[in-house]
Amino acid sequence: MPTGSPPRGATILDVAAGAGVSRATAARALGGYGSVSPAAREKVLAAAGVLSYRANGVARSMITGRTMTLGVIVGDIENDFFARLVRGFTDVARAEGFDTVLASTDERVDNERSAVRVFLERRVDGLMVAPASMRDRDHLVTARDSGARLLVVDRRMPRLGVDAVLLDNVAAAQEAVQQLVAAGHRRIGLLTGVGAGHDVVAGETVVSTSTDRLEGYRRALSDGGLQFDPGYVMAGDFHLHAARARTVTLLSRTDRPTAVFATDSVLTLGVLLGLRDVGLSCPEDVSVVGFDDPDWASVVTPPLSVMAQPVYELGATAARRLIARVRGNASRPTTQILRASWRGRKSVTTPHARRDVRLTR
Amino acid sequence: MKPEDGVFVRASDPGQGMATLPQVARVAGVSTATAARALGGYGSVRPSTREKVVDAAERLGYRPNGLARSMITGSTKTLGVVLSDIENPFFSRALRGVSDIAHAHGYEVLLVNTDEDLAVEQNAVRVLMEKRVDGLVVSPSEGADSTHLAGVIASGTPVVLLDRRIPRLAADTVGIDNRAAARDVTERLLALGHRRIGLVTGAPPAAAALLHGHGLPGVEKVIGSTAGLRAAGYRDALVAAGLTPDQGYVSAEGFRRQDAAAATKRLMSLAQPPTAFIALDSLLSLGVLEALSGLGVRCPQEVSVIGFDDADWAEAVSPPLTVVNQPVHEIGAEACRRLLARIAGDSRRALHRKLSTTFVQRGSTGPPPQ
Repeated sequence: MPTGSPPRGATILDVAAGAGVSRATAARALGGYGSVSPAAREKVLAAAGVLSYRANGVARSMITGRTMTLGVIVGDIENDFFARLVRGFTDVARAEGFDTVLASTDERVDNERSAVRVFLERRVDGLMVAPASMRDRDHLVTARDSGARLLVVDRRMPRLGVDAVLLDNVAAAQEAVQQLVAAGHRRIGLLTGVGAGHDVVAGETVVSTSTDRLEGYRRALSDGGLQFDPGYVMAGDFHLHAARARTVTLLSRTDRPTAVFATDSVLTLGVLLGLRDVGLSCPEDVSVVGFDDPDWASVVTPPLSVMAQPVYELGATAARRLIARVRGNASRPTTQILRASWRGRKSVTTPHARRDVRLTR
Repeated sequence: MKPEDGVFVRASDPGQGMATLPQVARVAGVSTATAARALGGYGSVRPSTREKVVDAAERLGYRPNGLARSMITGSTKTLGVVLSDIENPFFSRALRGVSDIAHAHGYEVLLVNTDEDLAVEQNAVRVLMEKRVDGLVVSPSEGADSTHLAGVIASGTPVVLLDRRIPRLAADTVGIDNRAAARDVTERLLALGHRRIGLVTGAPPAAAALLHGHGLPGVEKVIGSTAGLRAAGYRDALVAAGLTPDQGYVSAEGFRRQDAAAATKRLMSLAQPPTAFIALDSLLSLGVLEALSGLGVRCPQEVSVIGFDDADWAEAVSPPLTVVNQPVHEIGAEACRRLLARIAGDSRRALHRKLSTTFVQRGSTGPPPQ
């Protein structure tokens, strides 16, 4: 690179000057559109090479109205679930020529609102959101009404009328809890996310997956002729240490559950650590069923029985749907529902007559 | 959409995309350039024209256009992040660190996974540059040709390397002292009495040939990145203990968990199998643990394991995993701070930040069997 070159690289004007042609001719030659004589094209490409000219995607986007960029807004990219979901999404996007801008909301609606606004100003061609709360939809309605191609993933947003790619959460949770009921458990605890409590307060965020998995849990209990006890439902945020603390609280009850179902992989890890904290063993003292099948689930002791979501496929399916919209598919919004599958390993057994375990805490 | 279907009345149809500047211009009956000036609030536009344009923009539900702004300011307020695999907890946490700082400063983050594939990385860098990102955070492929990154830097776009350093590339790097960290864990295993220590590097099979020199001479140069530096630290510790490093215990069989599991099984089938393993990231550690458990080998009674990175699950496995903890979120955050400083005009020589690691003793290490 010669010294004194512009810091942002050569412009199309530099290339045109170098090739001795007009700016319009240079633009046509580099863009591969319109008619340019072979000789002129050659001169332009040679000048572009000498000047290390790079096509300006921003300028091209201004002309084409496409940025070839998709936006993704999720709760927390560090969570195994979202990391794999995003991987599935970006793999499809990349293969189709799209890049992905990414935002983590920390499950906060205000962060989500601002990410939606910024991404639309930046003219993403399509936007995938895992809404932080089913109750806060105004910003998504506004985005939809402005013509943005919008898709919700993982979490429902009732009556929004946009494409959705979801899991059959009620059925998946119901089946997971049925496994515990079938093994003979009568007291089954639920570790879950925000907004699933029996006493959701006004203004609290409500994550639809938590609500739906709670419903599946209730149905499984009811199918098994068991009473629903709100005291066994430990709802709260998705952080490891909070889940660990909730587990300790749950297992410190005198009528502690003989089994626990956790509705996400971080919560499941919190349950395993909480068990260790109080000196109980899995599955001898407490059976555990997790949701999602993270890499570590088969390596922990005992290997964990889980309800596995097709996480990568959720992201990939969402990307395919969104890209079809970008390419002009204007059919009615659809909701695609994927199914979870049971992976029985070693963390569920029949409840023993309660061992006399002295809790370490 | 027919009215009986539904339901939703929209300002514009879905699938049509948002209103564009040319559409606004057409409705206002002005040129695109005039509409751009009117909406961008720059240049001269007659008040009556501005009013027409603003009216049209409102009617069409037009949003301020970040692209147009970028064309004027020359900044897209976007950073490219090029890393190996978002599913690896090291990278997802580092990315979180990068994005936390980026968002706090009004920048967005474009993510690309390369799976350690140089061709994917080169193509991604080209596309990100065409999109005029203001800077790049890159975790370069192991042993990669770096001319594409040199080209980016020469064109005036700053690059910060995450985790890995490329010799002679004028880019800031943020990571740990890889050589010292690997030397430290190797010394700890030696102190427990281990003499045959398997090193699962995660480097690609192509790098294996480079590791084949007897005694691992110059390994830090031949791979020239994380795996090479850590292999050098491993070698340094063995040499200092009067041992001759045996390259047969150093695996370069790929970065995936199943690659690490296969490597562990292969090493355990040697006539003189290792009595300890060092795995260079948490996915590799999972592969090692999975393989040992599959072989019925007890940890740490028969084989000790130390992993790099303190994944959330490290405490939940049996036995809990002894690890070298890197400040991963902070590595990402610091990389982003360096990049923003460069974008803001910091033109000092390339800086190499080494953040400190902590050794977390848990249950997966002990003396070798008698």
